[in-house]
Amino acid sequence: MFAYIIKRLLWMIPVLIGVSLILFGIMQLVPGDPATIMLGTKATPETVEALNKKFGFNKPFYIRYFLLVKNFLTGELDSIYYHAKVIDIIGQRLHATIELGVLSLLISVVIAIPTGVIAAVKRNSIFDLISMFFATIGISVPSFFTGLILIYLFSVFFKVFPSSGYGGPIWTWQGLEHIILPAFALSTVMIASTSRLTRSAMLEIMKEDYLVTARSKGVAEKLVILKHAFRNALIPIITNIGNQVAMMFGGAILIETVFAWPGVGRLAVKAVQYRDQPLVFGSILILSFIYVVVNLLVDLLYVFINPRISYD
Amino acid sequence: MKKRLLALLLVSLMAVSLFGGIVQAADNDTFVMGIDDDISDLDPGNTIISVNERVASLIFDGLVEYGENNKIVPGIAKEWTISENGLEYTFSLRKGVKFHNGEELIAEDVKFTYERILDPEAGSGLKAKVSKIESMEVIDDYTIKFTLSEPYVPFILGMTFGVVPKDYVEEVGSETLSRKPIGAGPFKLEEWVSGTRVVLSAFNDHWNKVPKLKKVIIRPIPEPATQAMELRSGGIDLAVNLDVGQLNSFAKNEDFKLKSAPGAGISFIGFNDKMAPFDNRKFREAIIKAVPFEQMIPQIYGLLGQKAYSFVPPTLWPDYREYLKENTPKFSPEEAQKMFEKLKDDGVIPDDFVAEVHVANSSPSQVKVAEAMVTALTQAGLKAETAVMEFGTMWDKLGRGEVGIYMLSFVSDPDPDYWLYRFFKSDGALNKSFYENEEVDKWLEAARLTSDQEERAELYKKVLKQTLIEDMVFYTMAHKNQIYVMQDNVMGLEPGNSLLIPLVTPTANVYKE
Repeated sequence: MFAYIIKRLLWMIPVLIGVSLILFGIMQLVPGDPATIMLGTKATPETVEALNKKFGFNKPFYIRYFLLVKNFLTGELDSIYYHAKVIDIIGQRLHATIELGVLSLLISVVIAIPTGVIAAVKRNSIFDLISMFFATIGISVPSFFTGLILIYLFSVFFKVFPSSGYGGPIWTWQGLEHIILPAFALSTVMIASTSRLTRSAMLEIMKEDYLVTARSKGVAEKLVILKHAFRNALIPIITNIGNQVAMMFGGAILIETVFAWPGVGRLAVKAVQYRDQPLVFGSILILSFIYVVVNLLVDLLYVFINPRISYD
Repeated sequence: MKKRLLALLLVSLMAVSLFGGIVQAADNDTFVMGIDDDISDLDPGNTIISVNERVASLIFDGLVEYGENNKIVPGIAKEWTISENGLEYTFSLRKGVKFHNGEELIAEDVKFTYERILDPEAGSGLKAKVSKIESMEVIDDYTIKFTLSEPYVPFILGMTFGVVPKDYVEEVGSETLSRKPIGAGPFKLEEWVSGTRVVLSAFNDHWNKVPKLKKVIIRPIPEPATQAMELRSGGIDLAVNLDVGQLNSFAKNEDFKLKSAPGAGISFIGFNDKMAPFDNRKFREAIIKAVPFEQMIPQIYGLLGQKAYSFVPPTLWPDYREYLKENTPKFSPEEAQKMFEKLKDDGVIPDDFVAEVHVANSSPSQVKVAEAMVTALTQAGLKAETAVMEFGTMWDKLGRGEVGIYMLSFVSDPDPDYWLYRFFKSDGALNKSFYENEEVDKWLEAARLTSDQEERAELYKKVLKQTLIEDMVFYTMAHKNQIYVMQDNVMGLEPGNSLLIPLVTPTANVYKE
């Protein structure tokens, strides 16, 4: 097991090198250079040239790639648009992203899994119908729309939570108050998809022979469901959650925009808009790193859930 | 069980409501404003992005300032003289002007400020406005003389740039200045949480006025719908970038004040003068005649803007709008149709030609105009489609001369030179129409050399007439208004003609009641 983890960690190196190469290639294909775009209608040929020289855009591409990688590894990468170290800018934002991601994950797991299990056990009951009705809505309604509705209800109408912004770390009252609405808005899609998946996975497993055996042995229904059925249904659920978590870190851009949330997703979009290559490079690499780590964690979780899976 | 859950939910909602006071955080000493984008850099020599400029202008003061009607009034410099030949500007600074760190602002700081901007390595976006400086001489601590290489009348506007403290910048470096700015402006930086808020506090030793607001919080809220709801929930005192629909509902609501000022900007259509068939004047005229701009612009822009006839905003001279309005082609679809047919017969418009109207997706009003325009053109018999793209991509295509017809907006400072020279001069930096006209070049140069405003106005009228009417390389669509929507208790805040938010200026000192 330990050897496996080490092997997986080592595998991350070629994966990230691959990501960085593809990323750099795409950045070369995107039209426009940062100097012209940042200066916009204030550009003169002279200042554009000066800025491009300052940012090193006049160097050959392989040197620029090498410099990006070197500066990224040493933490010396400078953002053009923010006029500061990429590592500092991302550092300031990463915790906001992680807080939002983790809280919405918790919310969705706590709501979605029990809902899915109950819906499967009481198949075709009122609870099943209603919850799956809402799940369908949850998947279809875009998250930014949910976000705006939540703001209108809880901030403008009831005046319970602030409309937008980051209030501070989640363990402070201000921070908690600010994070609740965006976390709920972000979790809706995940609640919907996870609860549907849990339901179908449970239904699938409840047909299995070993559940019949368990029942006929006289095991209590509660135990049959929780210990035998649910545990086996968890594999696809965890896989799905793993994918969604990874998406959450980078893909929460709409929610971050609606709630003026200072996350890494919005930062990456801004960086692309301004062709801030060092910042694009740094933020996407860090997001890819998170993605890879989450995938590893998911794979390791499998072992704990189902000991029959072994990587040795 | 379900009832108990519901009750629990309601009770917890109510419990949270009790703490709801926190939502209305702003007391009367604190002013919270929502702006449209993240603040990235507060170095006044670097502020090429408007949100940065908006914040930096509160922290830094310049030698001179804009007063009422954009008149230049004394700032840190109490007076100045301009030599007969227009080459020497000598400024006398006030004594005892303090930076936020307590140091006194002296002539060396001013010299240093402009040296940074002029440094070719720095690539400052402000350089173009002061590039005529040949030398600077510190005569004593309170006197500085600028010598220009040739007369350049709009030079004085370049003296509004924020002065930075030399000792501080030399000690900590430019990067730190952009994150921890120290200036001599009415507010000093307290806290900056990237992407979340910038907190400023009143600088009580300001040379001119003690700000009545003790604290200013600036929050980037990119989504206009969210900004509108923040305003309604009391989370912010001022919103500056709302959509047309939201503005209408605020205009009817007595709990809020809506103030607007004729805008500082111009939205226009440009034609590529070097690309067929756009290089044909008849073709351009037919396009303008085919589209009912006069009806479309007020409908699309609503409170946000007004139909433009001149390239310079209505707050700026020369006042030539009546003439231009009279002489711009009017909407006449039949005529346009005939013209397009003739141009097709003559082979000017190729058979498979499709006019692609280029527009940036960051400007929703322009996208709407482009869409309506395409419909009108198609009806008049010219195949057309919109090419909506991200600004950076469009700007790149424009630079390479690959665009035949495009929409752009532009904002600048109150001198016609800033508006016209760069767009209409043959080698102008923003001349993406590749327009060349020797006479226009001559007029533009001449207007830089004379300080007689009437003479300059005449020259600029000639430029406007030639480019907008005779050659029709540009069609002016709209002047955007500056619209502020604020809480009812905000007093003394009047939108100016520029993007800057005038909290403490020679004419204003905003407070809350």
